[in-house]
Amino acid sequence: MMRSRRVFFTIILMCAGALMLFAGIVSGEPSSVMRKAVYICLECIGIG
Amino acid sequence: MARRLVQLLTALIYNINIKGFFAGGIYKGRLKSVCVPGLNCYSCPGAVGSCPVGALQSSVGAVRNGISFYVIGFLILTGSIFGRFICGWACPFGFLQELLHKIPSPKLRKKRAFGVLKYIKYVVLAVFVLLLPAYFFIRDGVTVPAFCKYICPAGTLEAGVPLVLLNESLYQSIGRLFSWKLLVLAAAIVLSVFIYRPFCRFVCPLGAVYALFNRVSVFGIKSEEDKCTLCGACARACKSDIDPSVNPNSGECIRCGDCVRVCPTGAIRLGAMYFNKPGDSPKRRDAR
Amino acid sequence: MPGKYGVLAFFIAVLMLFCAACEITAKEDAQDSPSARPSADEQPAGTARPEPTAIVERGFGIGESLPVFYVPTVEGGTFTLSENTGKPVFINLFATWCGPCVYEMPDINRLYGELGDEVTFIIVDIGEDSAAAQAFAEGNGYSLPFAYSPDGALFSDYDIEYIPQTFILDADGTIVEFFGGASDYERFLEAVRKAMKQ
Repeated sequence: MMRSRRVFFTIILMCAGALMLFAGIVSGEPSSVMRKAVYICLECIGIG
Repeated sequence: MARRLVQLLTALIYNINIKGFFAGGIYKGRLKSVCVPGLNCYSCPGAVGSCPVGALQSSVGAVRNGISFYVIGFLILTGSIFGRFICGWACPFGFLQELLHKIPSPKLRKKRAFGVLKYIKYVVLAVFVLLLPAYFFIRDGVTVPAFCKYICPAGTLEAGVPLVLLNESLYQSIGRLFSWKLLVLAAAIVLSVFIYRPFCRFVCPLGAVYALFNRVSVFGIKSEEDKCTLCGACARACKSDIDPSVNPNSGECIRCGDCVRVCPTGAIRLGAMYFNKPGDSPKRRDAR
Repeated sequence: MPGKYGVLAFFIAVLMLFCAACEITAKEDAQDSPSARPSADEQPAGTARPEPTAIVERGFGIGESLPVFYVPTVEGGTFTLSENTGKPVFINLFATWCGPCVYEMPDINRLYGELGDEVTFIIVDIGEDSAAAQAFAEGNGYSLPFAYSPDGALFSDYDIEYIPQTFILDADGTIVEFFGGASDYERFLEAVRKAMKQ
C-alpha cells in the first residue's frame, strides 16, 4: 500500500476509534460493561 | 527478552487480584469497566479488567445503540495503533500457547491446511461474537455470549477451572457444557505443543479483529527493500508461516520479532511505521 | 531508547499502580471473615442451629438458616424473610440480562401457578431497579411476585457472586436445597416437595 494511503487509513481509523470510545463513555456504557463483569458469567465458565 | 517480560507482566497486571483465588470469587470494583486489550476472561478470579470480546457480546442488544460503541471504539483504537502487537506482547493466553510450544516435540509448520484454517477466526468473529448474540437477543430478549459460552478456552482455564474447584456449589452444577469446554481447552493445550499458537491463528476472534488492522497500524514491521537480499532467513524463522520479505504486515503477523533477529542485513525492523527519515541508517536495534 | 531495565522498571511501576487501583476500587469483601454468619438474635424464633450437611456458599449451607433480608417489591411493599415463616419459601435471584436466569423463569412461573398458595415465592432482580423488573414481568406475562435490589446487597454479609441462585427453604426458614446456576421444573419441584414435607 502506498505510504500516504496507509497514513490516511491509520488516521481515519484512530479518529473513528477514539470518537466511538468517547461516544460510548458519554452514553454510560462503561458502567453497563462493569455491571455484567462483576458477576461470574456462568455461561462463560461452562455452567448453565 | 523484552517480549517475554512484557507478556509475563501483562498477564500479571490483567490478573492482579490475587485474593480472588483465595476467596473463590471475582473482583467487583470499578476497574472492571475498563477493557484489557488481550483475551483475559472477566470471570477469572484475578481479573481486574474486562475482556473486550466478552464485553462486546454481552452488550449486543443491551445498550442504547444496540452494541457497545465503547468496546468497538476501544478495539478500533487499539487495533489501529498496535494491530497484532497486542497478540504477540500482551495476551496471556497467547503467552501460554508459546510456552507450551517450547515443549520438545515434532512441530507442524507450513502446512497447506493452515492457509485455509486461518480464515476460521473471521467466521468465529462474525458468527459467535456478533450474529448469535444478536439472534438470541432478537428471539429471546437476552444476549447469549456464544463465543464465551461454547468456545473460549481462556475462560475455561482462567475462570471455569479455578471457580469450580473453589466453590462447592458451582462444582455441583457442572454439566455437559463444562465437559465440552474442557475438551476445547484440552485440544488447545495439546495442539499448542505441535503447532505454534493454534488458537491465535485459527480461532481467536480478537486476533481476527486486530489482524484487520495489521496493514495500517501505527506500529508494525518495517521492511527496507534496498537492504533485502531475498535470502529467505526471515521466512524460515517465522513461526506463523509468513514470508516477511514479501508480506511484512500480513494479518497473521503477531510481531514477535523473530524475523528481525535473523535478518543479516537489518532490512526488517519492528517499530513505528511513519518515522523513517530519508537516509536513516538502520543500525540494527536490539529487538530482544 | 530505554534499556531492558527501563522497560522492567516501567512495568513494575504500572503493576504497583494497578494493585493500588484494584484495592481502592474493590467493593468491601465481607465474606473474607470466617464469622460471616447470621448472628444468633437474627435467627427465626424457635429454630435450633443444626450442623450444615453441605456447604452451599461461603456463609451458609443446607440445614442452616438463610440470613434475614428484606427487599422492596415491585408492587411497592417490602418482602421481609423473617415475616414469611410458616410456609416453605422459594427465593430466586436473577437479572433481566442474564441468559440462564431468563431461560429458567418459565419453569419457575409454572411452579408458581401450581403451588403459589402453599409456597411463598419471591423473585429478586439483582443490580436493577423496579422499572426493569416490572418491564420484565409484564413483558413476559409472569404472575410471579418480583422484587429488586439495585445495589445487589441483599444479604448484609454475603456477596452475590453470580446469578441465578435459587434457595428453597422449609416452613422454619431452614435451607432445604440450593441451586447454583439455572435449573429446571423437575428439580425445582422435587426440592419444593421436600421442603413441604418438613
